[in-house]
Amino acid sequence: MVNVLDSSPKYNMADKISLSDFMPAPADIDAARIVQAREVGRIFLKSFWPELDTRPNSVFGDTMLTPWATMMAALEIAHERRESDLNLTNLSNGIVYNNDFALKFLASLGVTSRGSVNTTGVVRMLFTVNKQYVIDPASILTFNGVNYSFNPEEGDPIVIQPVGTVGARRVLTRIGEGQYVVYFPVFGAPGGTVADGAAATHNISHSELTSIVAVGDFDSGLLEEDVPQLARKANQIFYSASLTTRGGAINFVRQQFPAIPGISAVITGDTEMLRDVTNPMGIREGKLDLFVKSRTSYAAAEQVITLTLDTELDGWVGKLSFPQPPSFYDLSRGVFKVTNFDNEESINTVYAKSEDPRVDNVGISFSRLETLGILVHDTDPQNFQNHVISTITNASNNSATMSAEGVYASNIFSNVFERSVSVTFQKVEVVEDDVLGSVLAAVALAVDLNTLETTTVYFLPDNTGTPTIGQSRKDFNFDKLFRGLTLKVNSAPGDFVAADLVGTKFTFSFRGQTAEFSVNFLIDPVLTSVDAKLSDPENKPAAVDVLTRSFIPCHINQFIINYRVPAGTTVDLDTAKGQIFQYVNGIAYPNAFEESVIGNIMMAAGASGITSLVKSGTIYPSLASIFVDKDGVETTIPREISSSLVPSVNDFGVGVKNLTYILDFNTITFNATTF
Amino acid sequence: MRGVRIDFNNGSFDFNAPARDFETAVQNALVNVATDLGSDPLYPDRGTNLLLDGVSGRLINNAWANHSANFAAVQTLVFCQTVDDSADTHRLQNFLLAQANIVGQKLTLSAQAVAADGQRTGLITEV
Repeated sequence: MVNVLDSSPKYNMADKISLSDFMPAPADIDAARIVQAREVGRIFLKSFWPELDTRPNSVFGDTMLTPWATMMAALEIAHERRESDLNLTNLSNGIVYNNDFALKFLASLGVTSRGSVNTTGVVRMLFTVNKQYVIDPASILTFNGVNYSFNPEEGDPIVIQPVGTVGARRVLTRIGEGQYVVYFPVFGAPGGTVADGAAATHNISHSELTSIVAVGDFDSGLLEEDVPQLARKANQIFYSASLTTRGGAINFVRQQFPAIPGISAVITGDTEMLRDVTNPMGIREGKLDLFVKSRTSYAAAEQVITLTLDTELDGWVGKLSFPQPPSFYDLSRGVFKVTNFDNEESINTVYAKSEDPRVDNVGISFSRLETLGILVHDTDPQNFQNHVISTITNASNNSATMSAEGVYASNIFSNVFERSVSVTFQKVEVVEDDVLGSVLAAVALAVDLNTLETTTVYFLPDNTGTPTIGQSRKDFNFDKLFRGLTLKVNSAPGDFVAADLVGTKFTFSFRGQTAEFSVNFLIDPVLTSVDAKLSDPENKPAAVDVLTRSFIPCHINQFIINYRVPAGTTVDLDTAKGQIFQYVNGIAYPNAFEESVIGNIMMAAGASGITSLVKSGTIYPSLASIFVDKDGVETTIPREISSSLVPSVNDFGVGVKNLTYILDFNTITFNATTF
Repeated sequence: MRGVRIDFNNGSFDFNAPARDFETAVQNALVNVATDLGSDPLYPDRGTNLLLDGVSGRLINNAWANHSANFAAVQTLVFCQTVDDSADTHRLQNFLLAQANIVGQKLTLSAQAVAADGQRTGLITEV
């Protein structure tokens, strides 16, 4: 085992210990201690000089031995104090003799003060116009007279891109007519207090910016730690605060975000870990999923999404491009507002796919690596717009023509409802067709000129004899850009010779039938901040892949407390309800749901006890109900209904380490039996 | 036992003639008599009130001086016996201060010390 004290580059203690730094004041030395030291000295001297008179009143005793004994006692005390400052228990109990020494000692154990922890929070900026905005990173937001700033990692300058921009850090989200929002984490001096919904004043000059409001209560941060706090931290974290171990990762986050109540780390080998793939050498790579829950009640958010009609699926489809990974649907407000009614059934037609090229399963749910798409059934949507296909232009110098039929249906995982594309024929290739058998196909590269997405399109002849037209083959790749459409091409009027098309380029644009829908969901405002901190290259460990996720929710839809109460006794149900709400919604590993707590709350409120607790919850491994892998194969993600509120053994990465509970206040009901 | 001899007459040390055996015990006793009681934080019982009585005007006549000297002798004997080696045959067995005589600003006393082995010595000193 490596001795930390010997190897620490930060502090070579053997070189720098100065006992005089620990010496007591003369008045602090107990006389009995000096007498004891004097006696030790007397015996010691006697062994060398048996006749020497060292008694009190003797010359040598008074002028030599007593001063020496005093110094000896002082040095002993200094040594004890130094030893004490090397004792974490003493330090954590506030017994600190040399503050500088203790700090250096703790630093040698890898525990340093995090410095003061800033107040952190998330703000929502509301704009009236959908366009690009450039913001000075030194802009100041002021809540209650206290200034807050943007995080440096937002860039210089900070750029906010219009709705639908792909690959940008901050993109506007439309939430209504003339309403576009973007979320930013901000920080300010420690100890700040900003409540959910508070409005900020600011010095940002964009006239289109109508408001900046807090999303959720801000985390007040902490003042710089003193030695006892550091020592307690050292005790708690086993000398480690890194992202390479379960405990280290949890404590790393706790250092940075001390107010977060729920943090759980799932690592390679845990049943909850689905990302631990093996590398080409067959070695399992280190994975660490860090589940975070910063509050008992998530913040409510909403946005307007534009979906595209998919006639094949008889519904509206599109990507749910949330500003940050949602923690759950807002069932209390209605998830999807479709025209004038809530279409809650639509949560059963939400699709998920992984953005991690190496993890093709639901192990990325509730994280930035999960893309959600949806299918909504509605016959009378808002802001309906019809589909369009433009004229197709041949950009080459030949007589080839192309036509498009059908209605562009976009894609469940795309919010691109209109495209401008180029289709360039590159080669010919023999392919197998179910009907025609082996045929020579013209192969074209299609490029979306706005998003730069690409795909390969195969045009197959209409017959094997004298083909008159080539028609696009409907497959997974084709659907990436052209879902719902059929493309037809001629190398010359009434003729299809695949080889003649090589080098031919067509350009055109199209849009699907679209309508707008509003989505209500819940977010954990801190999730983005934690994820940004863990993704920082300075913090990211070399050997471990860390992913920040929101806890997997178990939504409790039935919670009936049957209790007994003596006649004439009043039970404070309001208080009990509030405490139960706080308790259940605050549960995160290592804590688990315990009925005894409910019983204690009820008895504290005046009940004699509870006779039964009828409860039921639905566990959502993902907000999606269907997972689509990279080959387009769909797998149902089961939502387990549990009366125990504990997940059964499953293949979807749900376990005690990453489960939390969502209990609406109004779901808690009471049923009294009087005796 | 051997120690540095104190030249009480000149207030200095005599390094040429070390005090030996019973001399060291007697010398320590005399130092104790002249030490203010309570002046040594390590040994609260060390010293006597004789000097304090003198400078505070309590020694109004020879009788009072004898009275104070008797107390000082007893205090000294008790203290010395607590710090002497009980196996030392030269340890202080008895100690007396007597024949107090006040002359002007001086007090003269006769001191007699008896060792455990019966050796006696008497000295006159001034405080």
